[in-house]
Amino acid sequence: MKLKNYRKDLENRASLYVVFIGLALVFLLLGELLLKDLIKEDSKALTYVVVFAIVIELINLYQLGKIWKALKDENVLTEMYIKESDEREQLINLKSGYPVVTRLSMILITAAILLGFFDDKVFFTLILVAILQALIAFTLKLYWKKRI
Amino acid sequence: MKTKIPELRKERKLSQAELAKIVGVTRQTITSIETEKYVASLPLAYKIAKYFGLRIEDVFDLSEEDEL
Repeated sequence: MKLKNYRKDLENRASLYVVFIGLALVFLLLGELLLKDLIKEDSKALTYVVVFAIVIELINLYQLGKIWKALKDENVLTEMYIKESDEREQLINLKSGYPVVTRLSMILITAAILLGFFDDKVFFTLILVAILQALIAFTLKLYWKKRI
Repeated sequence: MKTKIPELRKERKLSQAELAKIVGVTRQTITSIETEKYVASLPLAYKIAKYFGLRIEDVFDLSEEDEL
């Protein structure tokens, strides 16, 4: 029963990833076709904006691949479920704030990509904050993994 | 918290990974419980004890826990 619910949850997640990847592609195309005139030509951030957008797309594709693999193979699905529902793992995540901080970082990076088309300073500031807070959460996660 | 899980596993020739799969946790969680780094939750302690056919207090030693 739990695995059945988890399978449904994964299917929903996969749909969300597909929508997100599609939307990102649409925004990239819109940026190229419609917003090109608004973008400053001497923008240093522009290259990074495109690189970060592609990196996010690749991360999403990787996550989507993992979900599809789990949906096809029952053993992978069980392993994935155990890892996600493991109580020690959940405690470590809770103590390090890892899930919240990674989501916040993704929001910051998305905002940075959108604003990067207009302002370099805002782009670099947001990216730096996102990377630093993700690094802090990652370090805390490693610390708690060793402690408990 | 002290535990008799390693002894019970050896009796049944069971690896940490196998026990972990049976009770639905990762192998690292079983390792942490055995090395007294992590205290299992009540539901998990119950699952482990039930698998070995024992009571929770027969698997986990609560006597050395700090008291107020």
